[in-house]
Amino acid sequence: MLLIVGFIDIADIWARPGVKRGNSAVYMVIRNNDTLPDTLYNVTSDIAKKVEIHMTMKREDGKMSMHKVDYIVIPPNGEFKLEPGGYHIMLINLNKPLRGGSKIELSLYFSRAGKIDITAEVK
Amino acid sequence: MKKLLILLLILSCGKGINRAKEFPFDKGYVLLDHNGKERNLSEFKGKVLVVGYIYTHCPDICPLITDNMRKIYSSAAKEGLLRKGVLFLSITFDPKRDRPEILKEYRKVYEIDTSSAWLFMTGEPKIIDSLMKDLDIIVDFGPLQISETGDTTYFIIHTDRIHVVGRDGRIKAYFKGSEVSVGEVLERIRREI
Repeated sequence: MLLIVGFIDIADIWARPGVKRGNSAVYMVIRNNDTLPDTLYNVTSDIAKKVEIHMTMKREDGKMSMHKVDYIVIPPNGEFKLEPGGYHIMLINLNKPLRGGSKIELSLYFSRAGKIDITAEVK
Repeated sequence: MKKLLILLLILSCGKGINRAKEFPFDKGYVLLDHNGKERNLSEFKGKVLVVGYIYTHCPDICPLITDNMRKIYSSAAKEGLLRKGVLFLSITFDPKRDRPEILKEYRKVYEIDTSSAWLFMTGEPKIIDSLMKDLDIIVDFGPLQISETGDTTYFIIHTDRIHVVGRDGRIKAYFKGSEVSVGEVLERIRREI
């Protein structure tokens, strides 16, 4: 599904399953069709106690670590992929279990495009 | 002298390749499966094991490991390999949070069938800690994070690993769990049957 709001397109939106009080991740591809960059600086959702933007790091010693990032920049006429093993929207402390086929609502906040509401299917 | 050194180097490399590390079946590790049943690891000796290491609060990498294990499991089932003594284990390295009921719920949300050929295991923290050290799975607990509502959580830096253990009790192959090729693991399982 492709969501088009102004100059922002969002495609391939999906979320991982997760147990109640556990965590999950949401992935998508954000495309910016404008000639200026835009910044995703906040994400909110009622599905979890806390929502953050995170990045998974694959270290040379084979260990995997994760870090919170404050924002991501979507380049002009370019795209930013949130994908497994990389950047993702982190849902921390889920209010209910996320099972395959269910849908969750999130709001993305961009510095220029403003608030964009999205729906992610759990799979 | 130079030839002797080269010969010694070749011999020592060969020994390293041929002598795969033993899976710690005989160290008396007693874990709990997702049904809360006690399981001594020694009861799995003689089977071909596919073992993944995870924690259920992991949002990104462990789901990839579980998803890859699910694909391997599904292909192995279709090929009839599970009837030939192949068992899947997912062992948590976060035993304080991952109690059996959480592992059971995790299996449900990941739609893993209820067959006993794939067990999710936890245990006493000291036992799990020792087991992970034996298996060279590095587990670094991150700082406790407290939200505005007072909820706490933490994340774990960990090794990304799936092992295949042969019938002889030795670890025959190491794979990067989140990026593994299903075909490669299946080929290794077939070789061990």
